[in-house]
Amino acid sequence: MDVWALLKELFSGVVYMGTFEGVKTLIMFTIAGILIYLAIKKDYEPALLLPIGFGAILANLPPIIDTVTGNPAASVLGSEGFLTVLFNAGIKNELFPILIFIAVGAMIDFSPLLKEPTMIFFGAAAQFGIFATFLLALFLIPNVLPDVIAMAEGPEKQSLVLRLASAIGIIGAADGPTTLYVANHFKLTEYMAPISVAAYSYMSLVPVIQPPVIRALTTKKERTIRMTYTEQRAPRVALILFPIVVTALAGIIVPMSAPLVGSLMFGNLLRECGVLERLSKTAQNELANLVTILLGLTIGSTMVAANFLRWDTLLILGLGLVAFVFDTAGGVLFAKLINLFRKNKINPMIGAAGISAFPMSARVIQKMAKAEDPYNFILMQSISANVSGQLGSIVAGGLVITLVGLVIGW
Amino acid sequence: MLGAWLSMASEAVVTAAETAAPTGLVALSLPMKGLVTTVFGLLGVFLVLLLFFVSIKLMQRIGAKKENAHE
Repeated sequence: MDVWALLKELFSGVVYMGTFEGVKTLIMFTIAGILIYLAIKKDYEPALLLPIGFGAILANLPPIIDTVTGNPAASVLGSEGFLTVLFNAGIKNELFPILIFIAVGAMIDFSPLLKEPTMIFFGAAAQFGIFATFLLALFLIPNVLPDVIAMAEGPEKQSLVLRLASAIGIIGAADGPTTLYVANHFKLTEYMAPISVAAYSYMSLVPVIQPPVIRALTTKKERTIRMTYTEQRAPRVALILFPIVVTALAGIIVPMSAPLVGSLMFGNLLRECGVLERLSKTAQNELANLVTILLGLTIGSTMVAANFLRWDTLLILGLGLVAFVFDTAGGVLFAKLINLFRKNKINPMIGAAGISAFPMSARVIQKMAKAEDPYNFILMQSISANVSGQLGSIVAGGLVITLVGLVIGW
Repeated sequence: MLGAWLSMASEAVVTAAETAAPTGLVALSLPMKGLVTTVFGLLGVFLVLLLFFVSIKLMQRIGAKKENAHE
């Protein structure tokens, strides 16, 4: 037997690392290493960034070549690899985002919102960035990525631009599960890696991205506006009725949002019903932890070099950031607009909490308010806007799927 | 009689929705499609959240009545 051939087969991974594909693998290892570093050292959403980073390492390991057929055999990826199995079982059929929303719903207390329902409109205003970025992406994608669009044929070109633009816009909502839901619904498997990485990493970068935007749009006087709040909880009957009514309304008006709204509200009903504490705790802890691990790992597995090291990744990451900034600005400017007509002024920083990153955004707003005035307490109002952002982003996701589906004839 | 009328009406609505509306929208140019999605999307989000707002107001009333009845 040829010893050289034997050695080559035995150390196929080492040989692979010496090729151009191997260099790409090393770049992906570096990117994965940065994600893991941010998770461990900087504590940026470690529950997500660490599994994503490790998933990316697994997905970029050298393939095992079948000596008989010469094709890549099942390793962690491949048709029977465990990451592919996880992807098909949880992302492709939209199961993981749904399960995560049951957990999130069980964690959310809608009481502040039920006591100050006017805050719900910030959850709508802060979706402005989704649509502004969607329009921007419609213009940029054909001009910046003509090669990508050229690969599609006829009406499929327009369809691809619109589908990709909507998934990029949704990144601005800072709502990972909804972003995945939209991207998956529009069959953007090839773009899943940059889209999900942008969505989840910007979510974790709320404390870095939001404060400069808020400061740029508000005066010190506006940032020190105080607001009153009473500690009392909302009536129990209202807390129980809320998830049921919202599910029914969303399901009737925007049916495409029903899976996400329904699972979020089911989780919330588990929490508020008062007779299923064990299930509520399970949803908040075991279910949330388990699905987060699997979701993170599976998202990481989409970061294969061939799908990630491309120009469109840069465009998606850039536009995702723009969407996030626009969303924050939309919320703040809406609050300033409302203040023109109100006697009791709203602290405009609260508008920025209308995004979906819960409860991080509300905490950031409170921290900023405290930095300006140590005795200013606007956490509860920020939380009201923040939970409204959860609802707003899901509704926006459902509407985008419906409307884009209509205009492309899906 | 009413059942037959209802099924006829719903069939007509479904047929109209399936044929008329989408064909017109599909023929639009890319920027127009973008504008339609943006305008209806933003309005839709505000409308749905407005409905949530109204329902919360109603629930607050129900909750307050219940609490008053308890007291």
